[in-house]
Amino acid sequence: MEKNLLLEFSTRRCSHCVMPEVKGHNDLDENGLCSLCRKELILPDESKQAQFNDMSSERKKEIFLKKMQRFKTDGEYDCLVAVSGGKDSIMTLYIAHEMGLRPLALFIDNGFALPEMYDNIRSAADKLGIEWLTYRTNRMKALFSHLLKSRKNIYYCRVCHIILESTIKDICKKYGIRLILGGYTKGQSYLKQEALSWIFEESDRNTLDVIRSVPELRYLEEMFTDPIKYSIKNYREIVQISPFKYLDYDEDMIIAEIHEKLGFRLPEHSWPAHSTNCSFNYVSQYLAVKQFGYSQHETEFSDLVRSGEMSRERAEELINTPITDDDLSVPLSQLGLTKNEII
Amino acid sequence: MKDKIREILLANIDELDGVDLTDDLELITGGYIDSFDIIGLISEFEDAFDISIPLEDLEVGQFDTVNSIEKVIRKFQN
Repeated sequence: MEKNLLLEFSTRRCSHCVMPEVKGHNDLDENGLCSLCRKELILPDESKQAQFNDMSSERKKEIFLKKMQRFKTDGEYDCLVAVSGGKDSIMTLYIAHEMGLRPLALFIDNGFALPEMYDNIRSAADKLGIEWLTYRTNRMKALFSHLLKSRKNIYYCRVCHIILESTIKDICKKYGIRLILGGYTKGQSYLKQEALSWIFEESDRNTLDVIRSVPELRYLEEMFTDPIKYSIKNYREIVQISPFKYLDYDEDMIIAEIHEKLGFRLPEHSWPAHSTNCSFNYVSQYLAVKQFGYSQHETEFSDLVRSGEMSRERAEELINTPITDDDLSVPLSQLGLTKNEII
Repeated sequence: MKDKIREILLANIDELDGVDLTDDLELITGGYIDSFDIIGLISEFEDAFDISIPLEDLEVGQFDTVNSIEKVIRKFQN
């Protein structure tokens, strides 16, 4: 059996969720609790502010329906569903269809898509009678290659998401669509994730250094200088919503439902297990844990554990999905690189 | 000014319908609004208060409470 490279970085984890201890960024207290859990679990009830998540499921669903009506467009399509081919985005497409919306599904292949991603989108779109676009870009490969060679601390999923967001919104503008539905879970609400902000800041700074030093990448400079401001400047009218902010999230139920109705299947090999992340996610997660201590996956699972939507045991099992030398060498070979050249 | 800010928030953010929108209710950290809502809100505040919020001076965290939004608006009115 191949060695799990993540074991090189094994560390103490929060006794309540799965966040690892990272000195100065996520310290565990004498009870083994991380800062995220301390903030939410230890505060006395009277000092806790009201939160959106405190609302009843019915109320949240009403709000979701109201938002859909408010932002859907009157053109050929009501909304665009950004589909990765994973369970959450396929479920989002299903929800849009069940709500009577006329979505355009958009799949962006960053160059590292798994075959199952294509299969899942094709199957779902065919069964639901939804039109879909595939946009395969080589931008990511060119950028990743330069970034990897720099050996700087960079969170690659962050880089990919910034480019994907811009591409998705450009396509929305082309089709006159104002509303984007994305299948990100509560734990993937990045703005709320203070635990990720320092990682994003360092990663963006290093990414920008590389972009500025390579003439052919200079077109990305404004986008990476401040992604939020770039979005405000260029896509002010476009609204992005995830149904999972408003609807109860049950991973097993989602997988069972879309498997039965849409022929969805999980990839045989993906990180973490039971996800449909691209093959580059092995490299991204390995480097994130090595360079920063954790990534968006840990904070997402941590949130889901605290909200009761995932057990700690399940989160720990997923976070411990092995990453082997082979898992790194396959996506790296697509860039003509080896592990030794990037670490 | 705070009443007008509240009026804009309630008119544009469905999540705040029926919520006791106090001056220090945490809108972002409480999960009521996210970055995409802020993008839309900026235009509303600019129109309502006849100000221009330069992108280079924008900090998302400044939109977390009615109190902090008031500070942003007053800053750009002067």
